[in-house]
Amino acid sequence: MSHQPKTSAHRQTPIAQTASGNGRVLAGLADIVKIYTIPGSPVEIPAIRGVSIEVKEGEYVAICGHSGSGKSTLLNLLGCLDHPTSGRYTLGGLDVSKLDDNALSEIRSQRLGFVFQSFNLIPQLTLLENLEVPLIYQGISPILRRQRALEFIERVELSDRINHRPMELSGGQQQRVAIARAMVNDPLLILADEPTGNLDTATGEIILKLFDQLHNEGKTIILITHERSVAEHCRRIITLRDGYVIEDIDTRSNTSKP
Amino acid sequence: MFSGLAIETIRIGVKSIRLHKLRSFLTALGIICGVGAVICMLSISEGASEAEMILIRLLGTQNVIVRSIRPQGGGDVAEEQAYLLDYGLNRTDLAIIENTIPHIQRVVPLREVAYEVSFGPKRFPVKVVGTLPTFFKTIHVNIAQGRAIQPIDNEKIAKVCVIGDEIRAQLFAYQDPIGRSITVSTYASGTIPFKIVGVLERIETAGTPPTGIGGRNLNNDVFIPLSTAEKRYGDLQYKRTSGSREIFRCIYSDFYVQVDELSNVIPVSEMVNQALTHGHTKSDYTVKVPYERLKIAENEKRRRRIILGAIAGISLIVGGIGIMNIMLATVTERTQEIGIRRALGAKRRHITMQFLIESLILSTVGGMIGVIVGSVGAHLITDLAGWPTIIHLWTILVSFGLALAVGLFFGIYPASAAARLDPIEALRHT
Ligand SMILES: Nc1ncnc2c1ncn2[C@@H]1O[C@H](COP(=O)(O)OP(=O)(O)OP(=O)(O)O)[C@@H](O)[C@H]1O
Ligand SMILES: [Mg+2]
Repeated sequence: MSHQPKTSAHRQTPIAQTASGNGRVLAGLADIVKIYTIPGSPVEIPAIRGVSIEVKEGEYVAICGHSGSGKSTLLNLLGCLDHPTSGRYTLGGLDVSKLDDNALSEIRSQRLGFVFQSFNLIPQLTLLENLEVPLIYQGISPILRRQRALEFIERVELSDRINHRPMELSGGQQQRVAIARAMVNDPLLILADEPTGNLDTATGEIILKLFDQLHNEGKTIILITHERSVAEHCRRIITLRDGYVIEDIDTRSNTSKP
Repeated sequence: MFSGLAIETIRIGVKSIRLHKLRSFLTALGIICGVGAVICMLSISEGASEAEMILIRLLGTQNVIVRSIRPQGGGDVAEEQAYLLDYGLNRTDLAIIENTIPHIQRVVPLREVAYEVSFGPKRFPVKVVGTLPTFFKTIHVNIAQGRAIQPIDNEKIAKVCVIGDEIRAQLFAYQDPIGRSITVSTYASGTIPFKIVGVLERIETAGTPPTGIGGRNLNNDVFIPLSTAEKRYGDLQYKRTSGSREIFRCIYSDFYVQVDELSNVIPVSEMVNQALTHGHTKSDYTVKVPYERLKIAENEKRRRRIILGAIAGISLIVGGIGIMNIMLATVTERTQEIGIRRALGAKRRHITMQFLIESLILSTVGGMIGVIVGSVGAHLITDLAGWPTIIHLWTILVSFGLALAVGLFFGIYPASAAARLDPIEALRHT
């Protein structure tokens, strides 16, 4: 068991030091198991069967695997959208595996950013308003919200489209807005579930360039993909099969982690 | 911090409503109709009650009214010509009431002597009634112009009169009636001019003929001093009806008995009835108690209010179901949005509020329009159907409050259904 004792020192430093590396562990999964049960049926579907990984600050991680291997399930757990059946998940030094729905919402609002395969912008809202949504739930004042939204839409070079609705944009443009939205609340961790899955290769490359750029700025990113070419952008590739981690490699040193 | 979020939530609600203008309007229509119906129904009920209440109060809740009635039947025309029809309240009755019944402040007798007046070439059917000055204090009708009959008029057997407002309107449309004389003609006593000294206030009892339960239409009465009525006109009266002639004797048409306290009104009315039965073999009089009628009317009012209110309330509930239906559809339609918002940090209560506020906006706007529609509707009912309607402030507050309550009640389920959605499943929803 690699659980760290809950000492007061540990509480004071939100991001725990690990013995193995210099970078601090941002997200730590320990023996995570997720078993789906269908209400009214005895059938149990084990989607994650005991996963222990640590993601350090500034890492750029790809999660690969065949369809049904549990990638999305794992990402949902990392994204505090779901509770693990068992195991422990620490995010930024806080054990979030036992938190209630309200507290998890708070965590998502403060510490996480999401990018989805199907962009998931709110269709009735303009791009600018879409960017403001995460800030609303942080209780940020309208003026500050607008300011931040403008700042981030600038970064994805869509300042000239702020009053457009998502449907008036191409997929690639929509995904850029989604990335800006994932960034706007300055999260600890950005999670992306097949962000290029709905895009052609060329557009996908543009999106990946954006992720690369974020990585260079020191952001921690975890993205799911089943394309080799996408995974190669990342510095670490974790491969899942049937709910197990079967491979965890550092692409630069090409060394496999234990 | 929270208020900022509340404003944001309201903005989201308004936006979503404006996005589906027709749908929102149709949804609100249920509430509009409901509130409109509540207001119309209650205004009719209040209006009807009010008209009756005014009349009863006018007659005086502290009064007991005894009234002569012509016995029913009594043979054919030929027979009537042969007999003297003798009925109703007489001087003995007056003495009995005055002398034997306690708790009485005063008894005012009324004596009808003639049935037509004329001014110049214009004739007008009325009732010419002799009475005491106290009559005007016993009933609650004010003098609009001039003065009432006064004790001195009775002493001097003066030929003066106070007329009802309808007579003024018919005979003196363009001139001041005070000081002018109208002519009262009867078969037996010929024509006698009476000088007008006063005009009664008009009795407004919209809709119903203003006779009310007292059986008198004060707008059509000409009041003269009782002494004049007794001295100038004999006890026997001749009346021509459809070619035949009848002779009858009815000394007093009414007694207005004023009781000292409200609690004694019913006992006194019973005593009066008891006291009079002995002297009357046929049922030629009736005892009316405005107070009793007031209580009946009040009960009726309450009943009517409940029934009409309930009918209208049901339509409001139907409106509420409409809201719930649309809100459920909206929640389904916007499941993905709910998922997105949840992923981006919205708490369950934020989602609940978002949808609850939407249904509250629908019901508030619907309620406000409903108040307008209901008020206009009530006016139209009065104008077109001639029914009296009254809109009290409480009617508006209650109906608007009900609209809000309905919006809240029927909004809670869809809103909490939205909040209960699992974020992951909601996100997957398309
Ligand atoms: N809500 C659920 N209820 C029951 N079983 C589920 C649920 N969600 C996922 N599963 C099951 O868990 C397993 C892992 O699913 P998951 O969505 O994580 O796969 P994935 O690796 O993301 O696949 P893909 O590449 O197709 O998106 C699958 O067998 C799936 O059927
Ligand atoms: Mg998946």
